[in-house]
Amino acid sequence: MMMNMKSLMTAGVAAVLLHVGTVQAEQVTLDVSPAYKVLKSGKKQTTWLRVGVTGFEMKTDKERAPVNIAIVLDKSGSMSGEKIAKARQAAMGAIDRLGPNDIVTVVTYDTTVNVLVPATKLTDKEYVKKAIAGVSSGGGTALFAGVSKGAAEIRKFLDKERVNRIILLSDGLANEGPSTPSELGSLGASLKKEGISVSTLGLGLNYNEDLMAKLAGRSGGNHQFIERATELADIFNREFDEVTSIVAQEVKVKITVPEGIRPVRVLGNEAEISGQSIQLAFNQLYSKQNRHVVLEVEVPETENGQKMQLAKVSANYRNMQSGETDKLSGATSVKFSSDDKQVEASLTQTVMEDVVAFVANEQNRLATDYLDAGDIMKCASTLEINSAFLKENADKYNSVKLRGILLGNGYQLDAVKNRDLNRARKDMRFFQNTITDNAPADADFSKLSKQKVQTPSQQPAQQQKKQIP
Amino acid sequence: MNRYPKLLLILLVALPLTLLGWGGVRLASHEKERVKANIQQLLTGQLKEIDRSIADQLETLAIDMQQVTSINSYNLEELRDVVRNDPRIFQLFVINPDDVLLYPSPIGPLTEVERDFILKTSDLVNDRQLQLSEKGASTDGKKQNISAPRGTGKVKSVVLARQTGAWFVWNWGPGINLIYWQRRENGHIVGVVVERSRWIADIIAELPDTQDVSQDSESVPSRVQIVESGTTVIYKWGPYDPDSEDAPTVELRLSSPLSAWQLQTFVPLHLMTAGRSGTFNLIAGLVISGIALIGLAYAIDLQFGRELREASRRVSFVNQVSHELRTPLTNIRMYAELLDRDLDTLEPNSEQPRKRLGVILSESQRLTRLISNVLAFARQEKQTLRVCRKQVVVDEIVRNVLDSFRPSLDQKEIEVELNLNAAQSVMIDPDILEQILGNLISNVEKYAVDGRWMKIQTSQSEQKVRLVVADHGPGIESSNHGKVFEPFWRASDELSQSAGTGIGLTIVQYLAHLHGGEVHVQSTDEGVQFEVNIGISSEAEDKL
Repeated sequence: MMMNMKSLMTAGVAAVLLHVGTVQAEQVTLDVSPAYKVLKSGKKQTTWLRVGVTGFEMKTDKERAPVNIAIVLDKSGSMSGEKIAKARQAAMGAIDRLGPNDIVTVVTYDTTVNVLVPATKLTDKEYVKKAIAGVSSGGGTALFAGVSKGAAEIRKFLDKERVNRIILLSDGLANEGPSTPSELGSLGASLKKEGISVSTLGLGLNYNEDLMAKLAGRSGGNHQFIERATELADIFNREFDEVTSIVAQEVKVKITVPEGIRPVRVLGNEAEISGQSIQLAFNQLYSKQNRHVVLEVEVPETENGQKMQLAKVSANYRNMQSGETDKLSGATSVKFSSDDKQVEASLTQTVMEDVVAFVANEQNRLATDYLDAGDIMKCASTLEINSAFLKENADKYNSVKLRGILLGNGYQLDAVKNRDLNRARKDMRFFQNTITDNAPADADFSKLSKQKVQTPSQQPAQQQKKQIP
Repeated sequence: MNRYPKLLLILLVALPLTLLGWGGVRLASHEKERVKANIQQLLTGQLKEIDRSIADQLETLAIDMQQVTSINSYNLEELRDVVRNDPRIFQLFVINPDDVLLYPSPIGPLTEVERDFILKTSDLVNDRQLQLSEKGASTDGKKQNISAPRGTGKVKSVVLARQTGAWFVWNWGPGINLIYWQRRENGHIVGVVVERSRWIADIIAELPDTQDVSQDSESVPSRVQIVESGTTVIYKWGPYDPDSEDAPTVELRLSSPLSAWQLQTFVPLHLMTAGRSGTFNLIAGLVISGIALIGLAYAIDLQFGRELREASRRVSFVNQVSHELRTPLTNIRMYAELLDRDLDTLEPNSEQPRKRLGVILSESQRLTRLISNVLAFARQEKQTLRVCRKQVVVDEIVRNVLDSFRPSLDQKEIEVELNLNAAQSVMIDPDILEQILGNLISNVEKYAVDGRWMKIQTSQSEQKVRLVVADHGPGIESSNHGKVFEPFWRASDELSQSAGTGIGLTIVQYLAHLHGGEVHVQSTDEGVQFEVNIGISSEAEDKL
């Protein structure tokens, strides 16, 4: 049906650079890979393809794009003591890493909001640090207003050339002003359209992980679960590492699938599916970072030996080193064969790993929903099934990444079984956000939850054969 | 008689104080009301200012949204692009002239946001809410849900420019949502739902924040908050932290389309009164007036009491005088009757009549002295006494006076010792001297009878005559030496001692002073002695 000129295009991975800007400037790479290059002929089936972008390596610190950052600190009563002290320390440490071209805002909030340091070029670090040092705690948690004010300050210097980010620290439930996850999420989504992302750092066990995860997720920022205040400095550093190594912003990806193929869902990022086209955006891409989504499609029954284009992808982004807007495009197609072995051999393992990771993530979300519904048994069993699913695939593909996720899933399962529900839930949200966030391929997921595992692993749950949805 | 004036005095103090207090409280509460009204007016003014700035912000948004909705072709991709890129927009929609939702079309493939939109606004579209409000607006001119174009000068041109569009308020999710819509010339309705979180965030961004209290501690601490539907707080700022049950000091409903929102200001209660100084002034005023009035009442009481005592003394004086007058009169009458009876059985050379005449004479002399004393006292009070000097010999006068006392002295067995050394004639008023001496002797006779002894001593120099009368009576305590000359004063108020008017020594002193002399009282070993010095020269007379 779709046999036309396009079928002449090479099968498999095809990443084509259309636009050639400044010759010296490096480019983000776009890759489009199907899970199976060869599909079984003669049946209607579901398959996956991965669309990913990878940031180029930033060479020296000199080249980095200036940042426009708003540190929004919770100074509500619950922050008193070690937490606020560590937060001050971490924020001051972060200030030290920035340079005179960077713009910094410091906003504190409790019941009300105080724009402590309005958006300003960081020429006087000592002034900003002194202001941070004077922050003391007390009062409620006006999180929405804190983000609103922080965003307004960012907007004063909003510039495509800069990395615009709000770093929000909170240890409590928002209780002043709009406080629902959906309201904060909507705000995040709106900020994302402007190129502002919000990274949320949840401290301790009392913050609202849904709200923080949603705000970060919908704005394209990171969400971190920081159980102990002593970890704050590390997390701040990691966040600033990322912010100061951003090589591309406003990465917009458009995937078009030919008529006949039905896009089912997108895993891994907020995406807009309408008809045959799928649009998604990443706020930013830092040095060597790979961000990707998996697109699940339904492929019609096709005869043996036929070739079919699966998707065409175009992307554009702002190159933070050259200052130009670059365009990328790519496409992928599959062959059909009646030979099962050929099909099996055409599997691209890394793509499948991502598919498994995302599917497991969906399962994990489902487990959170059960937890919220109060059905702890169902939550535990969902996590158990998920663990089995992960283990099976980790063994099958001998995947380090999947083992890392398995470890996290196992930890959450233990926590649920030990009725440590709050910790479990926060860890789940953090995990879900992190996996969605597409950490670099070399990210060590096991590291994330290593320090939190408190009880030795339970007896491995009985292996259950689980079909990939 | 005593209680009534006291009551009056209490009234004198209490009544003005009550009036003053009442007036003061009235004034203070009036002042309080005034200050409160002033503060409220001020705060309301601030809130109106905020309302205006929010209205301006929404007006700007409305202008932008009017541009966004001013489209006549409805290409799906173009519409989606607008939604995708404009951070202020939640969703665009198009309704065709047949009231059918053209975009996002419920039958076509939908994005998640579009599906969300259709779910949330199905009633809005199905019930033709926008269309109804449109008709209401064209017939009634105004309808609640639509923001009537504001007629305030500057915005007018803007209103004209966007007269085709209006805000519509629709409730879903956490609260009110704003929809900007217009009917295009082709009959289509193009509307845009602005992202609630976003326009709230933008409004918050324009509102003040809470600066450190230390930075402007001088200004009045207050808390302003925006509340949706009376309960949900949207944003608050200001360093003051009111109790949750505190009622707002002022409240203001925001202008349309945000009429579901209220601005509230809280200020500390004590700032609403005239301050502590008002109450303090009132209390201080009352205390001072109270003290002044009590002082006045005390002075009046003092004066009143003195006059009362004076009056009672006069009454007792009159009683005494009457009593004193009656005794000699009774004696005179009795002896006169006896004499009259004796006349029938008169025996020649009988001593009896002479004795009786002696008593009559001495009693009448006593009467004379008494009357002279009373007259002298009366004159002294009126200051009409005159010194009338004559050439006399003091000793002679002493003897004459003593003679007149002789019968009663004899009767009371009082021994009289004389030491008279003033035999030379001098210029003095004999009446005054007689009266002084008479009073002194009479005192001995009255109060020092028990001593049964009296000594009269006279001497004279070129300037003065000295006269001393001493007795062996009970004496006078030295602490009372000054008081003996006060009118109506007596060493004892006992009834047995009640004979006497209490004015004798007062008159003695007065007469001595009048005569350019003085009186001294001295305690002696056995009794008391009075020393009178009378000036001879006429200087004293000249003074008068």
